[in-house]
Formats: sequence, structure tokens, C-alpha cells
Amino acid sequence: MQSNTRKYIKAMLALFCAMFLVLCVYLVYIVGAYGTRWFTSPYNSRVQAQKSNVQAGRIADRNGELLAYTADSGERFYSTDKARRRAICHVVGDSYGQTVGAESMFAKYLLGFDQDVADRFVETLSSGVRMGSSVMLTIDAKLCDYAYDLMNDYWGSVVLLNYKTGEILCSVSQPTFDPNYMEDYIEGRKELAASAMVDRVTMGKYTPGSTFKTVTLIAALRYLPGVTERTFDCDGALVFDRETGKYLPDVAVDDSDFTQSTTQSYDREKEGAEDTGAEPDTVQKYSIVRDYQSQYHGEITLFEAYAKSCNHVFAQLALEVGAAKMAQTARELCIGDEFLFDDLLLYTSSYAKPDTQLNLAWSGVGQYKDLMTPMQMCMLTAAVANDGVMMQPRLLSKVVTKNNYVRFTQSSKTYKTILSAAEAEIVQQAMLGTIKSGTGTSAAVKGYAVGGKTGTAEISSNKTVNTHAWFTGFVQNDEHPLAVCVILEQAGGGGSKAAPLAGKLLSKAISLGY
Amino acid sequence: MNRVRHMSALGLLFIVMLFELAAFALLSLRDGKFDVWALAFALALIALLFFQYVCLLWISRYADRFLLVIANLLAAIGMIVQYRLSPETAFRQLLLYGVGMVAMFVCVGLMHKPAVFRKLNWAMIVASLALLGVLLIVGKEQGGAKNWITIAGFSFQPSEFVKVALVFIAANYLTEQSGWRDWLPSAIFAILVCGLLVMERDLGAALLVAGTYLIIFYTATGDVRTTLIGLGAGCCGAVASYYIFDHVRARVAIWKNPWATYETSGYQIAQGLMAIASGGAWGLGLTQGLPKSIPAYNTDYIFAVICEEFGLIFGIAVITLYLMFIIRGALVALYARDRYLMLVAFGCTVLITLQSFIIIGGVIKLIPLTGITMPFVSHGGSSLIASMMLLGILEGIAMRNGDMLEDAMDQAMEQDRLANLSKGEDHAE
Repeated sequence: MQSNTRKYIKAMLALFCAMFLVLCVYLVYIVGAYGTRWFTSPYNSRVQAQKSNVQAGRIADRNGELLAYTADSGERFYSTDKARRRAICHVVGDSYGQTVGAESMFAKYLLGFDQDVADRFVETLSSGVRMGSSVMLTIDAKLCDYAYDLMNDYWGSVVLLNYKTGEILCSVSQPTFDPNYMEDYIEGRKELAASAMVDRVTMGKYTPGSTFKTVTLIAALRYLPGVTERTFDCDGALVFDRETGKYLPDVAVDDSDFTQSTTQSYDREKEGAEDTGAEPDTVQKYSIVRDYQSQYHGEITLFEAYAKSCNHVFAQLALEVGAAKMAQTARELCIGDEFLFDDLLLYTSSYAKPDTQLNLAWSGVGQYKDLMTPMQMCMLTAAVANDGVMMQPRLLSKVVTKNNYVRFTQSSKTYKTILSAAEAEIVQQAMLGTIKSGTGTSAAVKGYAVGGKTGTAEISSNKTVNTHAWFTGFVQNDEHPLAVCVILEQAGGGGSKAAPLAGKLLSKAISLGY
Repeated sequence: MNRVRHMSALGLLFIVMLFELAAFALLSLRDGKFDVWALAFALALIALLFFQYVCLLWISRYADRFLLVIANLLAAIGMIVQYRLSPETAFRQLLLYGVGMVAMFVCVGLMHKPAVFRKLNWAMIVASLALLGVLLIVGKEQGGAKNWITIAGFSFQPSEFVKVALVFIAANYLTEQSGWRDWLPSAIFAILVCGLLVMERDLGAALLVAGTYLIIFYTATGDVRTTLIGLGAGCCGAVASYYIFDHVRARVAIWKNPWATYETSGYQIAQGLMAIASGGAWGLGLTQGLPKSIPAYNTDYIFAVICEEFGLIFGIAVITLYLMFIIRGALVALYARDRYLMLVAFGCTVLITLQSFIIIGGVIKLIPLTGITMPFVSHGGSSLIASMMLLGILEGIAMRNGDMLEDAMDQAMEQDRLANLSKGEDHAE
């Protein structure tokens, strides 16, 4: 019996070894995965405390344009150009830790947390003041200025990526703030729009509208064999039972009976009954899904439906694919991923599995509870353009110490391959069609093959609230691998407002050689 | 062979000494002033270490040098961090360390007559339950748990000593193995202790006691079914307490997402995680961090402070030190020639294992955090003295193992000699 106890002790000892191994592995994993995020947290008082010991390094754009520097007095200043300060404010951030930009994401380098013993020893010997490293970003400040101008005071965001490397070339969010006056905003001496400190590119969760049809298209390609060969009959509207949300294929609609009913039935429920009274009684029984401004497309192919952004067809595709497969496709396209990038804090986009057929139909055209950040929409388009490979977006180009020694150069990293090359090819064709002969013609760039998708997202059932204008697209060119995403809040139609802006930005970027 | 072991233990001792000197030299130069007390502290620490080493080996050459050095290194890391945080508390800790050392030697002595503990069995049961019972009524609340008691000006944490008593009581009843009637009293005792600890909201100690008893029970009886029933009952108890007690639910919620309640209940874990993340692989450097922003920085959360200033790699080294201690402890148990001593030795090892796992796991958010001290390292007299007692018990048993082995070898040689003698006589005939 004694020897048995020895056997059990040995077994337990093995268990203990395993437990402690788990401790070590978990510790390394969690610091590796979340360390940057925790360190850069605005709650981390160490970052602010370090500013009294260390003179923060400079921040420059990819061409060396100075975006932020610390004067000898210890005060932090930003670009000398007033408009530029606003254009780059979200990307660069502020020195009070109020926003999430380069200032906080790269505080490790800027404030010398990365210096090892030897560095510190040399620093102490050579001069009294400890200085942090300088950081070079991937953005081009001139492009940011240009995009900021183009946005023309609309709230929203513009982001431009190199889809082969994942470099963020331009990222602008409006409304803005002036980082030189951060203290005044905090003290209340200067007024600031409520959400001005939010970087809408990475933290704005928007209803994607028709730009989400790319996801539905990919789901259809995966789960509906032969879908590219089919023709669809867009005869008006899909009819659903209002109470149960059940699809009623046999009920015909007469246009005169209906006004555009409910794009967001869930929204209505939340808001209460305030505007349901305004609808005709006939609508009480049915809910319908139909096109933007009640267009009819007649007999069309899948590609035409995509180019013309036909809600009827894509709602029907979503119904055919089914809620579970739609949700799975969204997951496979990284919608819902918790991104743990070192360079930027990207909020999670989401596709909620719809509970009724009505909601499923709306979710297929980017309404219902679908939410996308502009950055993720841009990453999706970039992955399509990059033959299905999603690159990790990056903002940090390199880190240079005060002695001009390049400590660190960041290289491109693949995030995930989300599409097969064949699928990517088909989606690229569909997106090229949008610019050639669809809703996005105004995004065309002369001499270049541009693909894209417009979106007009309804954010309220109240007709007086204007729609969000979306456009996301790419340049099909190995020399100029550019992917763009534009959203202008309450600006109107995606094709008329967002697409022209994207087209101008793309041609500017091409002219600058990107 | 023995010589090699001796040399490597001495080498380890030397490295520990260098580490302590370097750390305190750094601390003595803090703030641009020369603090001679820091160096005095280091010398006192080193003197105590050598004193223990020499004394133990003088008592018996079978003392386990590695257990001693590892435990002392952990205590030294603790005191370096204490000194960095506040020299006053560090001196208090040094004093308690001295008391712990005496307690260790007493335990070493007592283990030469382990029958004492078997005779004191009922006394220990009554004292344990009485202490915890009294605690329910007059206990002081600290950090949400009502687990402190003040007697004659000294406040201490009875649960730290009850867990040591539990090992002896469990081993006593589990030594016999004729049936369930033998172990039943110890199981009832363990359940009662757990119940009382949960009522005092000392969840960490309750978890520790339950886990330790189950593991000792399993190794003693090999009864998988009963162990699983016990484990199942424990899990049911945990689930039930989740629904019954608000503070258990709060703990689990914080564990899932400390950032959601950063301003209130999640503050401690979030601060701990930020400290660990700020340290990076090599640490911010001793005195370079801001560990005082973490609540309970010198007791439960000392591991986060270590990771912040010494770095992740050092943190892993500390985990490895515990593991080395545990392996040596288990070896002492495996070499024991007496079933009772084997169970006691392994019980002590299990206590150190679970205690260090529960607190480190809680700090790094692997498991929900339950307030419990880090053995040898945390500030706190009861915890340090109890840990030193465990060390003393293990050392005592290691010595007895050696003595008994020697006796057995002498006997075998004697038999051999006799056999040879008789053989020789055969030849003579």
C-alpha cells in the first residue's frame, strides 16, 4: 500500500508540474497578447508619471514631416500648421492620455520604456536629460490634409491602406480637436464637440448599409453553388409578416399600397410608437424589404445586382443562405474578431445572428444590427484586393533613438487569409463592375481599374434623418495597391457623396506615388 | 556524490548572497542619498541565511539544503520588495522572519518525535475549530474577509495555522487504511473548517483547505471514486456559493472583465495587469515602477510588483522557484520510510503548491482572484511564520528519512556481515 501512495504522489507531482507550466505559459501569452493594450491604457498612471523623468521623443510622418515634438521647456507641441493639427489629431493623439493615438500606443518608445540597462547607463553619463526615441508613422500628412479638406466639415472618417503591406497611409476622423489646446479642453476653457476625441476610423461602429453586400456575396458564393450563373427577378419588394417576421413569397405587393415601410423594425420597437402612426394602415399587416428609393431592376444577374446594389436580390440571397451560414461567413471574414494589434486599438465589429426572416433579409443588406468600423470595412476590401489575404493594419514605420540609431523597423504581417484566390477574383470582378457601370461610377480614376461598393445606411426610421454615405474600394494595380473606406455621417447617398471623395483621394495618392 | 550536492548547494547560496547584496546596494543608493540601513539589512539577511544553513547541517547532514536555500531566496525577494516599498515594514518583516526561523527550528526538533503530533490530534482539532469559531464573532475585517484576530496586542490570521494543523490531522487519520471509518473524522473536520472559512468570507483559505485535503486523501487512499465525489461536492459548493454570496459573484464578474468595473471592484486586478504589462520582459528596474498604485501591493499583489520591477522573466523564475521547492518537498515525501511522515511531508508540499498557484493564478487572471498570501514572499507575520513552519517540518522529515535510511543500511550491512561470517564458518568446516 505504501508503494501505491508513492505512485499517487508521483502522479500528483506531475499534475503540479503541469499546473505551474500552465501558469508560465499563460503569463507569457497574456502579456504577449494584451500587454500593449494594458500598458497603453489611459488608466496606467506610469505613462503620465514617466513624463516627468523623460523628454518624450518626436513623432513624424512617413516623409519625416514633424507632427509632434517636445520643447526644451518640456511642453509638447504639435504640427505648426493649424489645419494639419486637426487632420492628424486622432492618429497622433494627445499628450494627456485622453485619446488613443500614436502618443499612447507608442508611449513605450516615446518615453523610453524600451531602453535597457546599457542605454540608460549611456544616457546618464552623456547628459542629464533622459530622452525617449522618435517614432516614424506610416501615414502621409499631406494626404491627411487633403482628405480633411475633402470631407468638408461632414462628420465621419476616411481611411486609406496599402493592401499589400497593411500600412495606413491616411486616416482622418471628424469632428476633430486641436491637440495643442488639450489642456484647455480638459479644464473647460475651450468648447469641444462631445465625441470629438473618438477616432471614428477605429472606434466608430456604423451600420454598414449596402457595403455589407460584399459579405452576403461571399456567403452566397460559398453556400449557393452556381449562384454566379443565375438571373434574378427584381420585381419590387420582399414581403414579410409584420408580427412574426416570416417571409411570405406568395403575397404580391402593389406599389400604391405601400410607402417604404420599415428598414429597421427593431429600431422602431426601441423608439416606441411615436412614428408608426404616420404609416398607412395597410402596412400594419406586412413589412417589406425593398430598394433604395423604390427602384426596380427587373431581370438581372448577380453581378448586375451587386453593381446596382439591389436590396431585393441580396435580401433574397441572405434568406437562401440562412442565418447560421451568414453568421459563420461573417465570422470567417473576421467580423467579431477581437483585434489585438500593437499599433492601433480597433473596436470589434459585429454581425448579430438574426432571429426572424425579416431581420435576416435586412442583415443581408447591412441593416438590422450589423455594425462595422470603417477600418475593418477597409481591411475587408483590402483583403479582397490582395487576393484574399488580410494584412495587419499598421501605423508604426520605425523607431529611431535620439542618436539616430534605428532601433526598430516594422515589417508587414499577415493577419489571416479570409478568401481563396478564386473567391477573391470573383468579388474583385463584382466590385470593378460597381465602378464601371453601377452605383460607384463617380469613384473612377482615369487610367486605373478601380473596384468598390457604395453604401447608403439608414440609421433611423425617421425620414428627416439623412442616411450615412459609405464607399469602400480599391485600385487594381500592383504599383498602387490602395484600399479606401469613406463614411460621411448623414450626408446622403454613398454613390453621390462618398464615392467622389474616394475617387479624388485615390488619384491624389496615386499622383504622390503610393 | 554527496560532495557534488554539497558544492552545488553552496554555489546556490553564494549566488543568493550576491543577489541580495546587489539588490540592497541598489536600494541604498535610492534618491541620491546613501542609506546605510539597506546594507545593514542585507547583511542581517545573509547572516540569518548562513546561520540557518550551518545550524541545519550541524543538526543533521541529511537536512535538505535546496529546500532551505529556495525558501530563503523567496523570502529574500519578498523582503527586497518590502524594503523598496517601505523600509519600516521591511524591518518588521525581518523581525518576523527571525521568529519564523525559530519556529522552523522548533518544527525540525518536533519532527524527531512525530508521535507528539499524533497525541495532540484532538487538541489541534478543538483548537482549530475554536479559533475559527471565535473569529466569526470577534474577527476583524480586512480586505473583505473577516480573518484577523488580536490577542494580547498581536494580530494574526488563524487560518494560516489551521491549514498546517489540517495536514497533521488528515495524515493522522489517513495513515490507517482499513476502511472509511478511519478517515471519516478527518473529512468531517475538513468540511467544518471549509464551512467556517467560507462564512468568514476567506474564500482563498477555504479553497486551499479543500484542495489540500482532497489531494492528501487521494494520495493516501487511491480511492478515485470518493475523491471525485469530494471534488464534485466541492464544485457544487463553489457553484452554490456563486448564487448565494454576492461577493463570490462579484469576484467572478471581475475575473471575466476587470475593465468593465475599473472604477470600483475591478480596480485591483486592472492595476495589477497594467503593472505586469508595464514591466515587460526585463522589468522597469528596482525602484523605477509605480507599484503603490496597486491595492494590497505588499501582500496578495506582491507578484504583480515583482513582475513590474523585475520583469516577466524574473516572474517566471519565481514560479520556477516554487516548482523546485515543490519537487524537493515531494522527494522528501517519497523517501519517507513511515507512512504518517510521508503524508505529512506531502501535505506540507501540497499547501505550498496550491497557495502559490491560487494567488499567482489570481493575479495574472488565470483563475478568479481570491485573497491569499504568497508563501514566503508576501508581507504578513502569520503567513511567513506558517510557511517557515512548513519548511521546518519538511526539513525535520528529511533528516529522519536519512537517519532511518542509515539505520536500515547498518542493519543490512550487519546482516551481510553475519551471513558472510556464517558462510566463512561453512568453508572452515
